[in-house]
Amino acid sequence: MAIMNEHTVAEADRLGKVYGDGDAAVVALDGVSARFGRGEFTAIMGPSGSGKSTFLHCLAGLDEPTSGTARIAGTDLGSLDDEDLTRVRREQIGFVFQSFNLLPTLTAWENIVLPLSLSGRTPEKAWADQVVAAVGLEDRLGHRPAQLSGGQQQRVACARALITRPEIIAADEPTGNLDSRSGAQILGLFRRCAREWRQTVLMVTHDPLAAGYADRVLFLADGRLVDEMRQPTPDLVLERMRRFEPQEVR
Amino acid sequence: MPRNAIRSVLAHKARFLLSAAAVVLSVAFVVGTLLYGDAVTTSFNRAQARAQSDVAVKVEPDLRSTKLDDDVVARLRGLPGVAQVRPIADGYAFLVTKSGEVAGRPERAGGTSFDPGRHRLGAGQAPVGEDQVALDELTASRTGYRAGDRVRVIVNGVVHPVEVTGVFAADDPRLAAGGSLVAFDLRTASERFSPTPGGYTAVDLIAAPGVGQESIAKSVRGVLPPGFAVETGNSLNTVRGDDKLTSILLLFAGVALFVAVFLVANTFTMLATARARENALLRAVGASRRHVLRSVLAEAVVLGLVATVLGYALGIGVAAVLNSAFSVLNGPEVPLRVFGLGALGAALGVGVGVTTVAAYVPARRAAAVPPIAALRTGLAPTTKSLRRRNILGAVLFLLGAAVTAAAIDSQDLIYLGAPLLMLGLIVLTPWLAAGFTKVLRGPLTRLRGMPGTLAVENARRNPRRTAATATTLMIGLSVCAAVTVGISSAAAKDEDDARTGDNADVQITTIPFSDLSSGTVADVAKVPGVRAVSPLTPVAIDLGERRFLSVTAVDAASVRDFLPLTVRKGSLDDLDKGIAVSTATADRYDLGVGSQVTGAMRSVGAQDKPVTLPVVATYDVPESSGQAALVPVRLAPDTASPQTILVKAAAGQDPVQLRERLQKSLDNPVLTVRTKAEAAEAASSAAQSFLTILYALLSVSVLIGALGVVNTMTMSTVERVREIGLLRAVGLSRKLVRSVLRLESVVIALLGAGLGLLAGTGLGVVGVLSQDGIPVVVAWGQLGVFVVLTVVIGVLASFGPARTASRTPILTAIHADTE
Repeated sequence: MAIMNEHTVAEADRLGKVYGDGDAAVVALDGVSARFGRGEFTAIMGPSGSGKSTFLHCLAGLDEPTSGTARIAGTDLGSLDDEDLTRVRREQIGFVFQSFNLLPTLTAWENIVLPLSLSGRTPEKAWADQVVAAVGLEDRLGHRPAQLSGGQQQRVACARALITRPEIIAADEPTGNLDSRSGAQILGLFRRCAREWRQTVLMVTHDPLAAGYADRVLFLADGRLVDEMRQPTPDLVLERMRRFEPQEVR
Repeated sequence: MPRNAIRSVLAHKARFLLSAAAVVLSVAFVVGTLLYGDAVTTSFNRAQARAQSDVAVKVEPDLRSTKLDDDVVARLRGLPGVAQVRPIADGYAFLVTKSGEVAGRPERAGGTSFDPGRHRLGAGQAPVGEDQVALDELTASRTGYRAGDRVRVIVNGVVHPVEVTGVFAADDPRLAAGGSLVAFDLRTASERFSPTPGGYTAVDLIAAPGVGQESIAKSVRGVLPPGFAVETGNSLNTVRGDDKLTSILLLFAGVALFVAVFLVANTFTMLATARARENALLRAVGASRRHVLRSVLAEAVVLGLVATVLGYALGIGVAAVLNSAFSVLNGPEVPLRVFGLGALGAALGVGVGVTTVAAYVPARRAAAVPPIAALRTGLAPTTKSLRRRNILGAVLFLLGAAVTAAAIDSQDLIYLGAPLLMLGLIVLTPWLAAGFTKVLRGPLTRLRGMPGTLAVENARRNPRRTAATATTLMIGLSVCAAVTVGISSAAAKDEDDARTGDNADVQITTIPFSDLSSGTVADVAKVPGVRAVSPLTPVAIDLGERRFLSVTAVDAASVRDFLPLTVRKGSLDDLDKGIAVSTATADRYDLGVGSQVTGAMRSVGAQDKPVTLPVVATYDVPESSGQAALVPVRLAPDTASPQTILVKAAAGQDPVQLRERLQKSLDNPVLTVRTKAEAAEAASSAAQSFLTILYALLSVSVLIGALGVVNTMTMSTVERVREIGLLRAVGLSRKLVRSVLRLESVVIALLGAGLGLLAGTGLGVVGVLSQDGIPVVVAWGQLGVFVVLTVVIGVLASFGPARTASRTPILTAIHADTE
């Protein structure tokens, strides 16, 4: 039924996710539909337990929805087997997590090119240089994660997400563990991804400042899409978020 | 504390499972060995008793030439306190079964003189004359013979057709040992078994009631001339248990145990890492180091106790299987004593002791965790420097290598060198692991891409753990390699000797404890297809002044066809008239062609015969034949038994056919008739079957080593679940996750196997070199099999962990709290 226009890169069609069954069932997602266009930077927000992370995970092929469909570039993820799904993750999506983003046994450079090495490809020199320059890690490439600061580690993770030129970057609280300066570097990088390289950035965050970097914000509550904001500013987002609070108290 | 320990063990039971399995296996090995050894000792003791219970004193000739005849018996008869005197003629007699085989165990195939005091007739009558025998009831029931049957009995290599006149019960140690007993009348037995005409092999004296054994022995000594051994029944039956078998089995159990220590230690080390934060929290809320240490040790004790109980039960099973499968004596069955105090103590010592000792160092490390570690996220792995360890390892290893190298000249040194070398290697393994994986990283990456790199990096991230795991395999496989080299070399030498020792087409020997009859030579000569036949009959010439020349009596006409001789001087054509000596013998006794050998020809069961023989030739002979001197067979007494009979086939005669014809026409189950090829094969197959037994014993150690790899793979996969999740998120498929873990597991296993096989082969080679005259044979095929086995172990060990890891949902993995 979904009619995708050519700019739609990812699409959620009434995504639902229920954990457990019977009396113990917990509805994490309750029919969320949304589209994400090329070059669009979207922040996904909501109070704890709103289902925002689950939404991202289902959309990006990390988790299986119990109902509805997630499509990446027109492909229904539910129709793919593990091999194909793995390839989609490796080639079409770049992931950045809140913490534990790197393999401790590999150097920064090896971590960055990991998705390429996994499919036996060699990095394209010009693009790799550009990515490394964009994250500002030229002189840190031989270091192991333990020798890098938290901000540097997260920038390595971003570089890794970019190295395959994925259409989508999926970030789950990427700045959650960072100080504000390091966080700003990462968010700036994401904006550049969207503007300059026309990538679709999906970012789950609870930080209004971070959401301020995005082109639009989706607000989730109790597993439903409750609001959407275009051209957000931190103040507007904070204002909108406050409206969730009384509900929580009640 | 005990309750907490039990709870903790239960909570982590999956992690303790493999350690427990290793300890259970070791305990079972030890317990099985001890219980089985106990049963074997009991039956050995029964079998080794040399006198029957009613015998007060046994008199035997000291030398075979001492005459123990009716004169001696008459003297003993008159002694005070002696109720009964039984002259006995004992020897080997082989009863031929209905299917043409030897009844019972050949080494206990007894022939004896019938005596109503020793043999209680159950059916029929006592044997009388040369053509009658009585059989013991066990043998009679085994063979199905009854009084009245015609049977064949082989004594001194000669087949005697006789009639069974009776079946008796007897209290004879040979029967307890699974042998048979054929009784002749006293005169016949004396003729057949006594080395002296009209003589006996022993006299038993039975005491009158109330008379002590010692007092009889004293009076016996008083009336006998020198040349007799007089012993009381009690002293004859006090036998020391044969513990050799138990010791050997325990040695292998020890190896298994040693391997298990590493597995247990590794488990507790990994647990300490996994629970570092838990322990730190305990410390933060006020637990002392000692408390943490004790709580870990308490877990070890609980684990050890559980494993001991299970191991003991399994050990009983092992002993029962051993007892029925390898019944050493094949005699009346000896029941297992299931609860020996020694076995119980050993089980507890092994099970609990080893577990606790193995857990001690990891427990101390767990206790040393600083309380602040509880608050840190992502605990950086403590990479304590290996420097001191490496230096110690290198010193031990080099010292061991030096001592081992010195063992080439002085073989006992290997018992010091080998343990030192292995210990050094164990201490050095982390360093070697780091080196090995560093070398492997490049090739594996080229070969397998990023999965290769990941596998190698995982294997090298914790060199101590990798090393401890590899060590579990290394120990077992090093012993495997060492025994393989040693036994293959010995087997090759035996086979070579069998091939080059003589040039016969067919060779006739006997089963152990039997003799070849000199008459067989004439029987062989009559068989069609035989071109030449020669006995090799060992005799000796007493040169006087306690110098003896060992001589082989041969067929003078055909000796050159049979033995690989190179004549140096003189000619063997004249051998019929004199003696030929090897160049070594010529040098030693200062002989040469033209000189004479004068002395007394000596052989068992015959009078010394003075001879004066001219030396007709000197010759060189390979060591594998080694005849020091040759005389014509006519000089050897008829009673001299050939060691081997060599047969040359007529032109165009197939040796296998000839062998079959010989077997058929000689029709004597104590004879072993083999073609040259068969003899060579038999020589090496004996060693091969010994090797197989050793492999079976070592398989327990290798199995525990394999469990060690499974253990490490399981635990490190659990530790790394987040990493695996991340890898899956960035594009590693399930298949590749499995392949990474499989590679890692194989790398670890190969490290252990490589080191073990190298070290073991080296030690085996030194062991062989230290024995003179044995060429070193490295069985590459066998070693290759070990390498393949290791890869299989590696692949299998990764199977479970890889399955679990690849199935864990990515999100669960990423959010897992394993640190």
